[in-house]
This record gives sequence, structure tokens and C-alpha cells, in this order.
Amino acid sequence: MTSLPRVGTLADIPVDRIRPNPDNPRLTFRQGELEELQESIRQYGIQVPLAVFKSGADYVLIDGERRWRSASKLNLKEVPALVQTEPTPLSNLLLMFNIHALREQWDLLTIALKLPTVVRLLSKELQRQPKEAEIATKTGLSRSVIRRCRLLMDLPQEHKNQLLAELKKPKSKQELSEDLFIEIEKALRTVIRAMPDLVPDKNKARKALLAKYRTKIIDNIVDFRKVAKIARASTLGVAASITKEAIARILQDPKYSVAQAWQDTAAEAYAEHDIVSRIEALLSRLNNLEAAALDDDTRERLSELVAKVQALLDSDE
Amino acid sequence: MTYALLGQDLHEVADASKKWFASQYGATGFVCEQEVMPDLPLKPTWQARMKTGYTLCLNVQPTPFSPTLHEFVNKCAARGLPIKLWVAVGSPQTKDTFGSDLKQARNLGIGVLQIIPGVDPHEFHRAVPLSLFALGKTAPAKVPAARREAIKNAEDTFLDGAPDQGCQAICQELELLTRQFAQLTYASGWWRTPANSKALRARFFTTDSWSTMLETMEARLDVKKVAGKSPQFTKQAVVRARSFTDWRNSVSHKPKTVSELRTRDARLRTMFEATRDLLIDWYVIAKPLGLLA
Repeated sequence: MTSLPRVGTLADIPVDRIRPNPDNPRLTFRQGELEELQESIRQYGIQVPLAVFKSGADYVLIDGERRWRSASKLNLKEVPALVQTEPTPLSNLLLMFNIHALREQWDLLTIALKLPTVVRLLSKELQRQPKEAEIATKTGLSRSVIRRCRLLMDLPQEHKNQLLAELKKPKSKQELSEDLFIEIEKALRTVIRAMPDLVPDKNKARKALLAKYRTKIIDNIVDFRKVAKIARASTLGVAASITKEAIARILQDPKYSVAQAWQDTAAEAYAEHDIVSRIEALLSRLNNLEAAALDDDTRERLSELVAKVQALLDSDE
Repeated sequence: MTYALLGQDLHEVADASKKWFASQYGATGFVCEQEVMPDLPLKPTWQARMKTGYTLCLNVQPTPFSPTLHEFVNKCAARGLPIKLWVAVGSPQTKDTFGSDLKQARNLGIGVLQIIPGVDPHEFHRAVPLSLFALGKTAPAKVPAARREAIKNAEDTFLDGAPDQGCQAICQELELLTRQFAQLTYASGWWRTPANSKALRARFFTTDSWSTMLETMEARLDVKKVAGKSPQFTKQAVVRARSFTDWRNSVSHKPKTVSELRTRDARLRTMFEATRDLLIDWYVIAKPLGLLA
């Protein structure tokens, strides 16, 4: 079990003797958010003490880098801080994950970039590769967040750098997002699984999809889910040759949109599939009903349904 | 890394604004995120020395104004610190408040520079030295319409960091008006003429020494005759004007240290206000005589 530092004393610490934690997974601080905190501190002071550990003559932050930055900016001389004993590298990281990831909305990429270190240190401690559930318990992250992080971790460095540059911008100015890359990765994963011969170079395919997003041929990141659906449409009876051709065009023709591909291939099949699923769900509910349990209202709607279904079937004949 | 406190989204703006002040204003000796004085409530992103002797404090932030700046300006102005405070911003993030923030910054004498990648930097307005900022502003209603532009120009020159030239401009206004007054009252026969004295020539009123002219006017002017036309006139108005004739001596040397700059600015601020107040009194005197048309 990882040894956590003892809770120490609360003290007023000179601001200029505090250093940021080099292992803080949080890499980007947006000035707008800092200004809001700065104004709060200017008016009301620091209401929640920072957490630090002593390192030589200085103190290293465990929790409170934004408060420290704001206090220093305001030229405050001292800040309240809880002084803890120096944690091990793994405890240091896990502490920050647990303190920050649960309380603040961290950028996913900053978590993703630190996660391999956590996994490496945990492996060393456990003498084996940690399971996803163990990583989740230790870091306080949900398993779905860890899976999303893994998709980002596997991105080529070029795209990680692109994302990092985006994260430095205010939210409103960001053009590319972590969600965009995650949706692209999920779509490509499905396509590769269903049609491996269509994606000989994943990098090239990723760039093609990204270019389409930048040129607004794909204007909604949710559309990438349709790429995956098209790739799987043969399970609904759509001819594999048609879906393959559409996916190939999506990856090669810069003007061919996902919306168009959807209409050309899977839209009808999925609409039909949706109706069948709903009918099955309704039938399942009806099978469990007894006639005596039906009230007048339900009877009336069921009669309406029977009439509509009969009319549809008759017109088909 | 240069910036320990500034958010990454504004690092480029901070780099570009430093270059701007170095190239456009000749600012030197830049230091990053250091306190200006122990009790001032802001560590500006950059501090530097300007050629004029003022300290440049350049804060990089998302908006042209924030309450922290208000506190900083108040403390600097109250102590007459020779600081010019500028804010550098990037693209507006909240368009709804950008205009009002700009206005607040201007009202507090804070200069605002906007840096947008690919576009030339834009100065919305320049900073006023905070040592001069405490200058009591002139109430336009007290200045005749025909003279407002001259007074406004003098005040702008003063606040723009050239307080000696601002003082010179306001003193010239006083000189011009008192010379016109002297010429008119002499021509009206309201001056006593000592025995065996020659008539005064026109140049005595226009180009000869202002000091001598005021001295002569003080000695010869018949106050009762003038007061008959301009009830607010007293000999004291001439005596007070005489005390401004040697103002050049008090501002002739350039301050060499920050302390000298601070002292000079405080003295010039007092001088500007006193000259302007006297000028306003003279406007009241001159108006019934038709000198302000």
C-alpha cells in the first residue's frame, strides 16, 4: 500500500518560498480563470489553505497552484498552508490526482499525459501491470475517463502538441478539442476492426478526417460516430461493398461528407433498425401485461396503434 | 520559463508587448513578475525603465481593466509614484464588457495595448504617469468655449508625460490673456501716466518682458476704473499673475533620479493647478471686457 504523508501543521508560509510542483499533471492555466480567483482573494483573502511539503529551504505545492499564483500576483507576503511530509513520487502524483481530478474540471490531456507515469510507478509497487479498476481506485478517476485518456495517450506526438497548443487558448477560442480526437479515434478503431484493408495507414486516415473537420466538411464531432455506424452497417443487411465504398470515399475524397455517406448507405437501415427495436421493446412490454390491467386511456392508444399498423400493412399489400 | 504566474494563453501577448515597448518606447531593463514596491498590490507582468525616466509597469491580462488595477493606481497616485501603467490584452474574450473596461482604464490613466497575432499592435490610449494623475481636472464649464481647446491641449500634454510643456502651455494662456487685458485697459485710458513719461508702444504689451509689463500694470492701473467695468477685478489678480512669471526656472533642469522625477512631478502638478485656477479667475475678469470672444 502506498504510504500517504501525515497531516502536519497549518502555518503562514512566505509566498516567495513556495515552488510549483513539477509533477503537477495540470499543464495549462488560463489567465481568465486566474483573474477570477485573484479578485476573490483580493477581496476575501485565501479561505482554503494550500497544501505543501518541505523541500530544503523551500516548500513544494501539493495543492493550490492557482491560489499561489494569484496570491503572488497580488504581492501577498504569506499564505496559509498545510505543511505535509514529503510524499513518495507515486503518492505525490496520486495525491494530486485525487485532490484535483475530483474537484476541478482538469483538461483530459493533462491527465492523459501523466497517466503513464502513474501506471509505471504502480506497476513497480504492485510488481505487475495494474488493472484498469485499480488505476481508477488509486487515482479517483472513473474507468470511462481512463479509457478516454488512453485514446489520447496513443495519439502521435504531433497531435498531442496540437492539442496542448489549443489548451493554452481560452475555451471559446479553441478550434480542436480532446473530444474531437477521441471521437476520431473511436471511429477509426471501429473502421479498422470492420474493414482493416481500408486503413493501411492510421495516421493518414486520422489526418484526412481532421482536415475534413477543419474545412467544415464535417461540422459536428458527433458525425464521427456515424462513420463507425456505417462501418458496422453490414450487420444490418447493408451490402458490404456499399459501406466499404462510402468509407473509402470519406477517407479519400476531401469533399465527401459523413452526412452524405450516411444518406448513401446506412440511414435507412438504421431507421428501420430503430423502428424494429422499438417494436420489439413494445411487444416485450405487452407480453407482460394482463388485459385487466389496461385502463381506458391505454386501451384507446392501443386501438389507435392497431388501426395505424393495419393501415400500413394494407397499403403495402 | 519566463512566466511563473501568467496563464499560458497570454504568453504570446506578453512576449509581443515587451518587444513593442522596447522598440517603440525604448524601454530597457525589463524584469518579469517582480514586485514594484513591497506594499503595492500587484506584480506587473513586466517592469522596465522608460527613456523619460518613468517606470513602465505592463500587466498582461484578458481584459483592459480589473479591480486590482484600480487599487494599484490609487496607491501609486496617492504617493505620486513616477509609474506609467499599461495593460496588454489579446483578442477580446467578452465583447460585452470590453468597451466599458476600456473606458474605466482610460479614466484611471491606464494605457491599453492590444496584441492580436498577424495584426499590428494597437494602442487604444496611452498611460498617464501616476505621479501626475492626481491632477485636478479642469471643469469645462469654467472655461470660455473659445479657450477650451487650448486648456484641454495643455492638460493632455501635461498628462501625456510632458508636465513641463503642459505647464508652459497653461502659463502661455495666462500670459496671453493678461497682455490682452493690459493692452485694452491702457488703450481705454485706465492707466495712470507718471509725469514726463512717454506713451507705451504696442510691443510693450505684446513682446516685451511679461514680468516688466505686469509690474508696470500693477503700479499704474486704476483699479477703480477697471472694477467699474469688471467688478471681479482686484489688484491681487495682477500680483498673483506676477508670481508665475519665473515658473521656467523651477522646471528648467531635467530630473536625474526617480526621486527627483517624483518631486518635480509633484511640484509641476501644483503649479499647473494653481495657474489654471488663476486663469479661470482671469476669465471671469476678462469676460465683461469682451476679451474672450
